[in-house]
Amino acid sequence: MEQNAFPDIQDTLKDILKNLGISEELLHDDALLHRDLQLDSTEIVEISLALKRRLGVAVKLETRQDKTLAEVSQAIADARSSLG
Amino acid sequence: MHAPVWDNSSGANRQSNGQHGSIAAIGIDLVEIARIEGFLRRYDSDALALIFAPQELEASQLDLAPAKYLALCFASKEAIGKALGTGLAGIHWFEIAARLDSWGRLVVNLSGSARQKADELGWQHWEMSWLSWQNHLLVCAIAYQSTTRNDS
Repeated sequence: MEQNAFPDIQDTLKDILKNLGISEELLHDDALLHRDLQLDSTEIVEISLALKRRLGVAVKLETRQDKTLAEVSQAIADARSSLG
Repeated sequence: MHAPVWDNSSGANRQSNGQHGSIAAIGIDLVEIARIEGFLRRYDSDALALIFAPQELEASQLDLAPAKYLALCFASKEAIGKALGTGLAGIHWFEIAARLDSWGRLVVNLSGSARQKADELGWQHWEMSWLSWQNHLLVCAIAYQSTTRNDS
């Protein structure tokens, strides 16, 4: 995954995905959760649970459109900033 | 305790005797119980509350097979999301709450956005059935279109 505005968030997200068995080489900003990483609904839920445990944020990743890792990072950052 | 329901490997809440209108949609989901067991091992109740309604977590703690109970709840949410045609986009997981009644019948309660979506579609009634074998649990959700809106 490339460096961007949320390095700590990206590191956490990357770590969570690696724990799900996703190869590090697939983890880049524009990788899509379903299409590229082939995550199923249980794994998507597991990402939300892990984000809650590790960062204390509630991020719902079930959307009508597939999300890229950059979009997930942004959603996490938004959820974090709303915590104040 | 919900233990008696696991004497069976399946259950249905049959309401299809005509009074609830015609079938509008069907959603099916299959979940591996071991994966929900993993959730219970790795995450505390604060995190699990993102997914499960308080009454689901409470009932699972009283059950002899908590992971299986929550797998049933999880698959119910997914099955209903599929029947709605949008998955769980725009719906909080905990807005679909499942439970087993004392007869082992699966019953769901929709609230918030989930209730609103179903109401907009005129779907007032759900028939739920489940089947478990080995380490898997399958749930089928059937939505009934009300013959007239707002009847319940």
